[in-house]
Amino acid sequence: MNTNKQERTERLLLSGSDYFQLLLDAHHRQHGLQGNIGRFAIELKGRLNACQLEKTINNDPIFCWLHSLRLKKQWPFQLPQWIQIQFTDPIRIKIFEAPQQENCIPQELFKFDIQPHFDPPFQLNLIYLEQDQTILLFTWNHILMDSQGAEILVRYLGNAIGDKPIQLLASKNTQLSITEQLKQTQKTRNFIFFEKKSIFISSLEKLDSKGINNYHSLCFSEIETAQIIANCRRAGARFGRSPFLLAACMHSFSDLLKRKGRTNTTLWVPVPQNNRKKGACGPLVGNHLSFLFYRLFPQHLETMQKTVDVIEQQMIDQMRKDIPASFSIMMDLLLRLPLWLYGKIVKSPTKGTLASFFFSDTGKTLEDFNVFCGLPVSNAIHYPPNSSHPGFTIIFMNFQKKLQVIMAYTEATVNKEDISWFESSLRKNLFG
Amino acid sequence: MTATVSPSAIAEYICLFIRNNLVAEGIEVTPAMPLEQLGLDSFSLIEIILFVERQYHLQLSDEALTRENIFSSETLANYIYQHLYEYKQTRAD
Repeated sequence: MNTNKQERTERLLLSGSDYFQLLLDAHHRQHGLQGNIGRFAIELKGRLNACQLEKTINNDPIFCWLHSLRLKKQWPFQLPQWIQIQFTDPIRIKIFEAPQQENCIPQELFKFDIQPHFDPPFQLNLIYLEQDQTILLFTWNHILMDSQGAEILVRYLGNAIGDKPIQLLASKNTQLSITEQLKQTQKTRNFIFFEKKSIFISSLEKLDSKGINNYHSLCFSEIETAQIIANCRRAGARFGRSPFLLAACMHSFSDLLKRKGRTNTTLWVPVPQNNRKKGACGPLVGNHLSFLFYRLFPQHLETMQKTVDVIEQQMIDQMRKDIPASFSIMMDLLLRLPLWLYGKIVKSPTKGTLASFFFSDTGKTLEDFNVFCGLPVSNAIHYPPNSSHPGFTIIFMNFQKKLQVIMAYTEATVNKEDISWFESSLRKNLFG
Repeated sequence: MTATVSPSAIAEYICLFIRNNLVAEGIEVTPAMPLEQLGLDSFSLIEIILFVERQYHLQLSDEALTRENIFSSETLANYIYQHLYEYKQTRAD
């Protein structure tokens, strides 16, 4: 990896965006769920050699450095940071065997938690399937990196990024004056919590649950993907596919709420914006996300065209007002607060809850992912952490030329019947 | 921005913005290339619109932001040129 040794420091400060992920981690745990854990699975045609892979990882300075990081217990007003522990065990890859079927990743791997203060921040597992197939599952705590960071790291491991140079850490931003930071923070708070109408942030029932995330996936063929894109144009989407995909989800989500007896609900959706340059291999460490926030009132959901139009309009308005940048500045400012106080500030206008619905479109970053360690890649899929309890998360991603969808939920909020109903509604909205 | 701009100069300027801010080093960006082909997402497409608005001191109306106009740097540049030309004509009249 083309990174220099100085970047692999003994201490690594969290960014505002990482600290927000730590807040989510704590929020999940408060509700008896596992932390903010992401998973990235790649399916390979052929048997991946576990010993060889383990040797490669343990000889790699980046993997060893990441494996030695632990989140430091914070004193009040001390900046949150990762510290490198001196003595760590070698990185072990656990091996599982499973039958060839849908959802063949053993359930215990989805129960696996990573406590950021005590555990290595990532884990690798191999699942050998019948008919000479292998799944590599990379599990990590989202405080360390976002899903694209995980993708870059895994692809680097499998020699699947070509000669592209990798950037390990983000370059330092110019620090704004404290007055300017406070001004931007106020602007964001006003926009999120007080503009026009107060927000109805939690649209799902809040039940205490010890359950883990359940996942439901949809994979479209190349032909179906082309049909969805054509339908996206018919619905008048001008800025790529994401506003259309979000509109389709919001129609289905609103109908799901009606089915559960909640009518006239205003939907509030945070959508992440990836701040990396397109096609870049980095920064690898850290969360490089800022957010846009959409408010959809019942009258916005009359037709798909109308919803797409409203989403695009809200997107332009927020970007004209520089809301995503101001939100990042606000997160960087809040980094100095103890976590409990940060949580109180973030959740106070919404009486202790966070957004119920979370949407992301990771785009076409996996379109050229064909080979891993010399074996053909037959699929690659992200299993996101649940957005926040009581949450429902939906992620769109392309693998090669096919669109895939993953839904993450806990049974305390929606059940299997709701999910199958949501799937058929979503298909209807996507295909028109 | 000066008033003596050509569509091709605007298109090159948009390409330069994309190269410097939106795509990784080494990715080829040409005026005729469809913006979606560059892997640009919805947010990046709007970044381009906002860049153009700032540079040429204009605010593009909703009607101007059609799929055809924002298909490539070239089509966007042609629209901007037309818009600036019409504005100059109106002022001259």
